[in-house]
Amino acid sequence: MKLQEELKDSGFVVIASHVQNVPKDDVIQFLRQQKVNFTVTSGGDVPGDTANTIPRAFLFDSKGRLVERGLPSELKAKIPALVASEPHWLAAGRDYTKLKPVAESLKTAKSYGPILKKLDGEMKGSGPAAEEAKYLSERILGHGKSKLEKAKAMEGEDPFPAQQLYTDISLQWKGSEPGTEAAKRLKELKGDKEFQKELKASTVAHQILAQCDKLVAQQGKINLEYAPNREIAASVRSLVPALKKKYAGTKAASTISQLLEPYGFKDL
Amino acid sequence: MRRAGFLALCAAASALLLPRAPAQEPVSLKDVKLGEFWYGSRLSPEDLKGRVVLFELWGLK
Repeated sequence: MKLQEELKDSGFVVIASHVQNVPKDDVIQFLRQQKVNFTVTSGGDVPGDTANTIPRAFLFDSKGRLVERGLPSELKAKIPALVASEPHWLAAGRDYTKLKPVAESLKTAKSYGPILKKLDGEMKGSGPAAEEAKYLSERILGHGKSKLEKAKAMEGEDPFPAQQLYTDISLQWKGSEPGTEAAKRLKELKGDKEFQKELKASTVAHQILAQCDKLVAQQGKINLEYAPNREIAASVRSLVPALKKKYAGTKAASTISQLLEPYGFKDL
Repeated sequence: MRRAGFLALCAAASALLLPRAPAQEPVSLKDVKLGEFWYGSRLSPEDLKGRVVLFELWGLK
């Protein structure tokens, strides 16, 4: 989980597929309690894999080739070196003769605006440099557009992270189309009363969930009567009715009880 | 000398006749069955393009 967080900007991804006969709700409850920060699926399979012990893992490079297989703990030690040796995921998929430094700069870039500006200049020319610039520009802009679509889809479901995502896009792609679109949408949402009400409710709900993330689990289970958890439990028990009263009719108010069940809160 | 030649011929013939162990096809991420989405970020095969990916098989029990 730590590795996923540390390397997420490089494009490194963990996908863990559950392959036992265990109820989905039990698995999801466990994942929430453990604050898992990567994608989990069920019933995954690797061609040619005949082993039957778990856990077992498979490491793929940026070209999609299987480079290692074995215990997750053994493979995890090799990941930072592999990521460092691979191109940034946005630059992956081709070789560079003219713009290799620009492709490499993606690994440490905090925003894409200056890189896109440079690529625009290169595209005005011709030959390999223009071709490489076109490829990189399309990949970076495509990523921005994909994030815009995710933010748009989140608006109705979960306004608080949607707002945060629009803000991130407006900064990271400043000076380019995705950045301008995100800034424009933020301005529109500021004047949308319905959205603003949902946003306030969503913000409170996320604050409650952030408190729940501090609950201490014992052997994988959360006991709200456990001394270190009592104060947080009491706070949550008073905040939830207040959320439901103040923001009645919002999505956050209607879903908060279900979101709190994995933490042991019943009938809130 | 004849015996050595005969043995060499037999070895060559058996190499032709015996079934060869099939060469392992290299495994590619695009052939991996990711499974039904349960938790976290939904990722499509397009989302994984160009990324270093750790794919784990695990169980709760």
